[in-house]
Amino acid sequence: MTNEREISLTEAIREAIVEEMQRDESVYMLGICIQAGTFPHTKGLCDQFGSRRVVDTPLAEPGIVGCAMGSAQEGLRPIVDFMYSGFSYFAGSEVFLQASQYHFMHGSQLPLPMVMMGTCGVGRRVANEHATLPYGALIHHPAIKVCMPSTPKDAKGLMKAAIRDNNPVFFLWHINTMMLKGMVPDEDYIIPLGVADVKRQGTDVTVLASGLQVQNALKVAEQLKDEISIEVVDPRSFEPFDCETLLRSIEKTSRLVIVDEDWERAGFAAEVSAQIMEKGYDLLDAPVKRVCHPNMPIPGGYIDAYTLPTPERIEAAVREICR
Amino acid sequence: MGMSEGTIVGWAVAEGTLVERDQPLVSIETEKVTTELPAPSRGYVHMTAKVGDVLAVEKSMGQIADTEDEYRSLVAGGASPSAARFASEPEKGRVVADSEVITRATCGRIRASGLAKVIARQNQLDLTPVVGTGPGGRIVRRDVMEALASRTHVVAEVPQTANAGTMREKARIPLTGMRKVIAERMLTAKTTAAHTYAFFEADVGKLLAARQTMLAREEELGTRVSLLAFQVRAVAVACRHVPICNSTLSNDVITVWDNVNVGIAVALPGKGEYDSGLVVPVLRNAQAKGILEIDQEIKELVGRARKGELSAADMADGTITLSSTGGFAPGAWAVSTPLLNLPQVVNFQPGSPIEKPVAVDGQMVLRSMLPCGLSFDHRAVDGAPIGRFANKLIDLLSNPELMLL
Repeated sequence: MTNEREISLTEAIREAIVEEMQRDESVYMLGICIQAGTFPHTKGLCDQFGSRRVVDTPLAEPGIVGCAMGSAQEGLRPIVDFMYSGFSYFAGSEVFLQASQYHFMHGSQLPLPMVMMGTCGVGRRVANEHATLPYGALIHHPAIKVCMPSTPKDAKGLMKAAIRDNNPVFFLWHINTMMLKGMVPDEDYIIPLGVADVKRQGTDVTVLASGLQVQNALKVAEQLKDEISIEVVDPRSFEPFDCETLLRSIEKTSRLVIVDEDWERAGFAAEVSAQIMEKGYDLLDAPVKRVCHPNMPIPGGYIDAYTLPTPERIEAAVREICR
Repeated sequence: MGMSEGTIVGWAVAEGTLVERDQPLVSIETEKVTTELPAPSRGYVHMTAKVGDVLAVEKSMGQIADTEDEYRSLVAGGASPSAARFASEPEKGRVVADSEVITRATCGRIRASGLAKVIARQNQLDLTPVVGTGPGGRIVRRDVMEALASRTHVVAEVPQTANAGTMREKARIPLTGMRKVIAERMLTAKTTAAHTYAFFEADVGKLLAARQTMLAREEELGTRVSLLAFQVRAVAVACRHVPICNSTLSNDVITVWDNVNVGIAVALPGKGEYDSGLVVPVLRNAQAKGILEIDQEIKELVGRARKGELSAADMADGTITLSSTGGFAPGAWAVSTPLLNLPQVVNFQPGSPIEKPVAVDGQMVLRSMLPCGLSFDHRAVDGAPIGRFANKLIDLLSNPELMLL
């Protein structure tokens, strides 16, 4: 029988990793400071599974990813923990080009089952690689899967799907959702990559948001519930992207606001808005609106509060599109 | 300022005129002054208000179409998605006062959301008069819903709600099948070829007499030889004298054909009571056939056309077309200007022979005259060869014995 408990998003990630490492001996982790459990999702893993399956590495990302790729080629299922996903850029060639396209480059003969994981998100007053959200850059490169949960329950299911996938999957989570609490089943379940979730039903406008921004969108939806009925859609994975669910939502609401904490230019929001223009033009009663990080470096410090998509900015966009 | 309405005193141009931007267009009388308004943009003027009409400020008094095609569809009452509308604010002597109208005038198109357009299309709603309340004057769903709600009648309900003075629908003929093919061919012809026309008449007294001779031998010949057979023969012989008329123009090449394959326009009943149809079967190698053979072949082709048994091959390879209106033209001197059957360059259109006074040797006498029209593609054929072709046709139709040569 299913038993649900309230745990945090990082505890849910940890639970997924533990269950998968117990289920499948080929699953192992490697990364920076994971034996010491610097982030809560790796706490106690080394004690439980030993240092052969929870491997600390030097601060040398190309080597970490290269090592993971090699072990995946040999039949293991590595989980690379970057801590901050922005650090993956140090291994840009391995992540964006080598790992992602390995399967295709080898005539679709050789799978490369590996997970890369790391946190991201603006708002901790840190900048640059400690804050940058890499999913826009990642999905620009074909053949790498990318997901980000907005709830603890999704976190556990998506992480399990990522570990069991035979392709490189980048698992992200927003740094300000780490302590987010939610009900999570203690059983084994997966949330498939490429299936969006309607987090709240509405009829006037669809707000597409990921990670922390789902929580912001839900706040706005609740605040405006007597005025504007907001439907909140969480793609959960950026690639594969479930455009169908979004189109079905727009069919009902005829308006779309995309909240994307990444930079506005050439990002996920831009991609989705182009797809909706191509596939859903006749459904739209207003141009798609984006609420993104402005096209300037993430400032860090107190100025973060002025560049982040906030509930206030989402509300303003919702009101404008519903004029 | 402060005015609420104006009276149209006079239009400075005629309906359909191509006006230049800022050209004087219309005079408007307000409570205080009479002002002349210039055209807001270049295009073809379609007036929706007439002299004496009193219009509220910003009401449309007409539309300016960018192209002739667009103008035609405006006049036909069709949707006019891209026509600029113009309204007035006469005291400034300038067009428009409101950002919504400016947007339309400058963009030359109606601004509506994709969803609004879909709903309008599904409900056959013309968006031209709908005022958009969305950002920048965009027509959004609520505007379309409002327009639909306030629409006086829905097409499907016409019989129940129609009353005197409104348009009442009698039939609806979808543009499909033969109708669609005709529509497409005609439009392509009209918009592609440089149509030019020549009109003339032939004294067909001798020809009618010759035909009477043949009709008297109907049993022997096994057919009532038609006037059309003579005309086909005349066209075939005339083409031998002016070969450029027996040619086609396509892909920047004029091909002059050795044999004369005469397309014969045949009127058909349409699918419904109000519809009509048209096919053009081809009589091949007319230059090598006598009148009797031509007549029999015409009857065979027309018979099959009326039964709907023509194949695509029966209608292919025409080099010139004959569109006789003899069967239905009014009993008067009447010709029309048929559109070309592309890629052919000449269409010969004889009417019905009528008795009329003509001057012969200084005397007014009654003669049977056949009015004729020629349409030709001036891209391929010039006036001089068409003149020779017309003269040859006149000669042949007036002196049928020449067709024996």
